[in-house]
Amino acid sequence: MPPRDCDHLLAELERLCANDASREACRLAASAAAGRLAPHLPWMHRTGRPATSWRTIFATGRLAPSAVKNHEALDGRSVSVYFFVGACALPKGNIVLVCQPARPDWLLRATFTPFDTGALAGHAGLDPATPVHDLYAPWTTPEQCRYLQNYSGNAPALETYLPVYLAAHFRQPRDYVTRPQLSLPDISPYHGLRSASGDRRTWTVEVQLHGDAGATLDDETLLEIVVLGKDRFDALPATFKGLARLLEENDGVDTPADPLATACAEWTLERAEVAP
Amino acid sequence: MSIRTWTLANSVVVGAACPLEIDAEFSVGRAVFAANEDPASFLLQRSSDRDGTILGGDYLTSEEWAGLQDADEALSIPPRAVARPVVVWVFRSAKRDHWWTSNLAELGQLGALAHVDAPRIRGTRICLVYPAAAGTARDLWAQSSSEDAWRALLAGGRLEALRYARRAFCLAPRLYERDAAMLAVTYSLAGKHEDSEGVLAMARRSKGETFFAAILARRERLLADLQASQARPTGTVARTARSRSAFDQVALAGLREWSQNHETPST
Repeated sequence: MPPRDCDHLLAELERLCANDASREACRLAASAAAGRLAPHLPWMHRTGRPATSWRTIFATGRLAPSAVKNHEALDGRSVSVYFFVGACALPKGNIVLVCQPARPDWLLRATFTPFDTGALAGHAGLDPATPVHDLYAPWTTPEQCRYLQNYSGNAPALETYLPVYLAAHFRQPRDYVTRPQLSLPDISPYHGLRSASGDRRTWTVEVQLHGDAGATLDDETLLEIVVLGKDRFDALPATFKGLARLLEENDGVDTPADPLATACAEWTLERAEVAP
Repeated sequence: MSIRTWTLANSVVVGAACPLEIDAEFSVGRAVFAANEDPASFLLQRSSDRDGTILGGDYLTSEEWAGLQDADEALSIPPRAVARPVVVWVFRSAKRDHWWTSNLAELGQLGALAHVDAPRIRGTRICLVYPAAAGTARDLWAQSSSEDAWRALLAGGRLEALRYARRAFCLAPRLYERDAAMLAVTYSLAGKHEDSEGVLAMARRSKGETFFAAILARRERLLADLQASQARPTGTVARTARSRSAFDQVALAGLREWSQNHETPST
């Protein structure tokens, strides 16, 4: 995985702000709140990815890396574990692992993008109306790879990038955390990626942890395990039970919002607001 | 995948968002529908309109639906048409007792059972349930299982009590202090202290300090009552010779002391 800093990402974002009065106004107004929130956004891994059983995760105490998609392989990536930063943007799966955001050994082998890298393989494309890109259709694998490279930074740079990214898109940065699955930021995603349904995976920051080592789930890593369903709590190994927060099932047929995403958002904001 | 209107008339239930094979004796999952005219389109149902005929939820491609099953997050059943929105209840029995037989009969009498499937996993039944018709059935079953756990404890059956307590915990539609306390006690008495502490810590994280304090108090009462029951003369409590040997006073007193000294760590 080639190293890359985030100077180019910040430079483009700042240039766009300078040329767009509404984005710049948003950035100025939200900058302080974004700076307070960003350091406290945990990394969230939701179960439900194909071929990765939640039971295997807890039996081994480890998130095993999965093979990357074609456009990631072209970028020199081989296997990765994926996290969304500060939000539970993968809409499926019944358990969320809430992890420390700044574990040094993870930061050293991780990259980030301001979108879900997997979405590039089929769920999202570039908006032709966005003036900053020439990567219009056809959206082929080499172009997806180039796009990925353009918007990829080394994870240690998140500390600098994330507050700017939040402020440049949200008048209230906490909305980044609480927006539903199908929603958009207040200001259009600066990278020009769109999905037909308006899925937040096109603008939620993702971290990719590279390498065969995967992610070991120890006491220093796990902040909380959010579990939907008592049967799954019952199945957790004893060492993980004490980290669990159980969401009660709604036995009615109506649960309009994704309860796991809602709970994770509430937890994130509570924790951020009480942080020193 | 095309955006379409999902209704009970144009779709069938093909599964649920809960695992098929798991130790828990009861699971609940939201129903997954497939479109009659487009079997590659799926809906993880979360809502319905006032009439209950138009469905809402998360759309899934066939790849996503297969992936959820592959990841132990969902189970599939043969396609079933339903008259009203359903939830999926899964009953399991690792032993041959098929404890759920009377529960299914009760659901049938209540008119709450849309379909029952018997998968290849022995001792398992997958039920499509009309939850409004089922009323408080789960609550009553959970209470009954909790009472069974207590009776098993009095009789000295530690592992049997744990099994009932786990069943009560899973059956109850909410996280109750009754079930959490009983689960913590039965895990302890079965020698699974880390599980016991885990239940207490989970309860604290899930519902806060007041709830946690209530569980600790209830756990203490359970242990005290158990200790008292063992101290009474023969005949005042339904006891067996097995119970007298299983729960001697020294052991119970030690467990109470252990419990008091092992409050779950702050979260």
